Amino acid sequence: MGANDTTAIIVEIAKQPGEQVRKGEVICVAETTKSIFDIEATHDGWITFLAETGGELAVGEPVAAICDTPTSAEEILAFIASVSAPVILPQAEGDAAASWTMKAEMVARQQGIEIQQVAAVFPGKKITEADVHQFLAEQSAKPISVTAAVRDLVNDPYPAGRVQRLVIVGGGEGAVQILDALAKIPGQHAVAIVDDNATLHGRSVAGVPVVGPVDATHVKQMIQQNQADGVVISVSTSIPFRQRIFDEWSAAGIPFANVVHPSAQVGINAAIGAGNVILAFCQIGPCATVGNNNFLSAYCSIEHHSTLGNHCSFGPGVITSSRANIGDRARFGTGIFIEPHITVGHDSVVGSGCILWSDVPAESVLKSKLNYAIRQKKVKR
Amino acid sequence: MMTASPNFFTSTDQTAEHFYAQMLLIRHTEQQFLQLFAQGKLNGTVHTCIGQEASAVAVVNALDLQRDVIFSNHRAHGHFLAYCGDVEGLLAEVLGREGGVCGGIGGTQHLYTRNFYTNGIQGGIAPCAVGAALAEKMQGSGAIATVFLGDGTMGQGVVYESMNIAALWGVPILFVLEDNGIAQTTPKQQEHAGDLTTRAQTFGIQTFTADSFDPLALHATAVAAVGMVRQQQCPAFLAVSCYRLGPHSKGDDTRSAEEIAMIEQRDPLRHLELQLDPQQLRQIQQAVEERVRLAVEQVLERPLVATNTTGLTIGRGEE
Amino acid sequence: MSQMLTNVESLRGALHNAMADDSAVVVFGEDILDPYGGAFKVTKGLSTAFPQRVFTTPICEGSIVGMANGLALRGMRPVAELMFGDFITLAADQLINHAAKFPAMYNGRVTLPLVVRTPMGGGRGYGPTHSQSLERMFCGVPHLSVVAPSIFHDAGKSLRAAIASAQPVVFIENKLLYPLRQQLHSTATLQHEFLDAEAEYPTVRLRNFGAGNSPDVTLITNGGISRFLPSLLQRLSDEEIRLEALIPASLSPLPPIAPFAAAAANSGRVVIAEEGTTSNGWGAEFAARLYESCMGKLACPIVRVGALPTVIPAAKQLEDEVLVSETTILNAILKVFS
Repeated sequence: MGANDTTAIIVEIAKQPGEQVRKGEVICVAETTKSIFDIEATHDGWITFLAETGGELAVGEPVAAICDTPTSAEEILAFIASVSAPVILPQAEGDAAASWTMKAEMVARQQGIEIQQVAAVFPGKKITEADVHQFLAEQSAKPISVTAAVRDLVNDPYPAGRVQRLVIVGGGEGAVQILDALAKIPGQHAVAIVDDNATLHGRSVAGVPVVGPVDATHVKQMIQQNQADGVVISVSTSIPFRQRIFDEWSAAGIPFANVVHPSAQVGINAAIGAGNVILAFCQIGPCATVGNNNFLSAYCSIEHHSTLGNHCSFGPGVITSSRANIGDRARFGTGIFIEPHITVGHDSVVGSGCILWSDVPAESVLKSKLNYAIRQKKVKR
Repeated sequence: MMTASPNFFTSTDQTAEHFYAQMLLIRHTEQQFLQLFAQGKLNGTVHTCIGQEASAVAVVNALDLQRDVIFSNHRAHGHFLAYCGDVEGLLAEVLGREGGVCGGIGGTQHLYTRNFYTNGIQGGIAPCAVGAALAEKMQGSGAIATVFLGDGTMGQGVVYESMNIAALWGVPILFVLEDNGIAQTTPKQQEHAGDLTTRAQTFGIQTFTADSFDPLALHATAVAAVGMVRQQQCPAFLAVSCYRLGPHSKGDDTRSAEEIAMIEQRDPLRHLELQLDPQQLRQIQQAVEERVRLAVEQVLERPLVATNTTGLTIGRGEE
Repeated sequence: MSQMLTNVESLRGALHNAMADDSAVVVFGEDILDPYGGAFKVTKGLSTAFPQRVFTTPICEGSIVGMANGLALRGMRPVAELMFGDFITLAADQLINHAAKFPAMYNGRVTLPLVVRTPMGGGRGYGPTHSQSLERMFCGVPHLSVVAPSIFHDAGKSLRAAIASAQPVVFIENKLLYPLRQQLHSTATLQHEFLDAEAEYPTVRLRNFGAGNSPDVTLITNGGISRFLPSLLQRLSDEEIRLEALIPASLSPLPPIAPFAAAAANSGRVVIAEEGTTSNGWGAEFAARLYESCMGKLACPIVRVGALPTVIPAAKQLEDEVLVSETTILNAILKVFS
């Protein structure tokens, strides 16, 4: 069901009342704002329906009960009533015991931190907006660790007038796409490309020189000598390569940057890690989380409250609905739709044209069964 | 050929020939309106009082036109012309030409000049007239107010609220009921229970009744009613029985030919024609015809009322 | 500083002074004579002081306003009282088809200095036909002014301006404001100033923060809602939320929109609160005007708050449910802020 759905309508009941059902059989079909889905039997047993076709049920309301013996609806309802505890609703007017002002909480949220983090630093004090700002200032003044360096590059604004200088790993078509995006981003600029193909060395891609092989020592030297500020990987076809370079170089203290095409939209409270490439017309919805080192081709949408892991590669037009949960190293083809609340496990491969309405276990390979015929056009001569 | 002096139509002489001239002026002017409408030169609508002119002329001439206040209704051309004789001002107002009394904004139903006010809402003018009369009384001007109501309007509650207050507070106002027996297309019998002429009496308001068939007799009754209101500083009610010869506005007459023929027999103009010398009659008729013809000609030559680009000055005065 | 007047004291004083200053001022309405002095006591003492110019009328709202129209056309300055704002529907014809029409349809050749005073608003358990805020039905009528002072306005001064005006004015009072003391000056925690002190019916700007800061949220409201503001501004101040409240006294026509648009663009977040229902209302009009002026400068859509679209119940707990409260406004402010 969609994150915003509070009700579902039963559109079809697939079993007779009192019929014996087996676990996994479809017992009825329900409709929400975003999809139609099957409801399956969770156990073996005798089914008693508590809803009717056309009925609208609130989330959490029972559709049917499956019992070890045939049981009447009245008996089931009586049982449910006997075990239900009173529901306590959260207070509408906020927590009276909150030890921070509403303003402080909102500023913290806007800055991507939890107010509790701040509260922990000022024990026994009602946290104010000023405390949050102080907390943020102290955070950014701390010595740069590896992760802090990544964060620094990714999230924090650069001092005025300074452009982030990037080294691009790989000089192929992915690099061309990144360079196209960078041409439109005032605050980022490519200074060098590294590629293991020796025939490219000494040449340039869209005016950016290919300076040598993919070599951590060389790139780290460029950074230490203040010739570059960060790295991004342009290779989208080899996920093991992406992961290896990202993991090894991060460990070596080389910072990774994000490249986000200016036409992409990033919603409020969305969190984006490091080393991601997000190309034209992508959307990262509000409150979505994107890990590290993902490559999103044009027109991909990671819808609100979805979570994307690390080192994934997306072809164009991969659209998730709300609260998708995508693991690490997943690879997606072109034109894929993902229903709300769907999980795609680690290391899965999803072929072009798939529509995902059920969870995908790790290490799955999905191939769409969509088919079509090609025939010769009849042309009158 | 101008045979008549300008004051022929505005003289306060209260003779048969002067009443006849004023009534004929009203008749001709209104007939011009119907003709101009048919020619497509008149925008909107007009409600004519053809057949009822005697009521306007007889009652208005009973008032002190220097100071008394008149409130009239949607059928006000007769009252207006009897009050001021400004044919051009009325024509221009209705035709949207320069020099209209309200700059072309009010049109036929919303006329104003000096102490003369009209509005097209049925009955709403009754309390306004009471308020105006009260103001005159408080200011000690010696003026009274008159309000013209139709029989249809006697269905409105606010009329009786006004009578109640006027009687209660001793407000110098003359309520004039012009009872033409029909409200737009609905005969009085289908609208009103009981007798309209007795309605004011229940408030203790002195009631006068008259017939518009004889303008001079009607005028005498109106003079008596006005005199009482002014002297005793109290309201009076004058019920005038009259007939509307024309339609409510245009093309909405559902009465039978027989009924109209009967009404034409009761035309007050005919009654006066019998009393006047034939030569004098022809002279008046020629003068009135000429007066209206020239006025129409002259007003149609005037430019249309100027628009302005924003429309924001409409209703905010001449500037 | 001397003790501030209550709203009813301010209005009563203004009526006394207006009658003393100008013998053309006439006051009338239902049950306004002493010793009763009117249902809400605004006219108390008036008939004793000016017996010739204060009248008690029969129950006939249409004719009360109709008579006032006639008086106004003939050189008087009538101030008519309608006992409850709900009864104004009975005078709608006189206000819309007479008062607002005479000067304009006579091409500006007459003036109509009319004031119709009436108390609106619920919260007193009077039920569905004695608790409404119907002023929005008269907003937007050309040539008719609708004025509603708040507790941050000098109500008496506003009433004097209405009496002095050549235009017809519907003067809205709020039943719950009558006993409250007017607040016309800044305090330690609340900045009070007029946006346009020279205007006939000025707009008040209230802030719970000092100079040098910019507001988090702009609240636009009027009349009776102002009773919530002292407490609301304090609560928001405790939460470090900087609120700027703009309170026009002229509901119709709306005051010039520019300063409101500038304030809205400054905070980027606007809540509009009104006592009556919101559909096709004053707040809707205000929001539309703001969108016309500063659409791209707002961080989030304007939120309107008003009474629920139903009758106003008599039972207290039900009435509370239908009417705007401090909490509903607070929640709207938090909604636009987060």
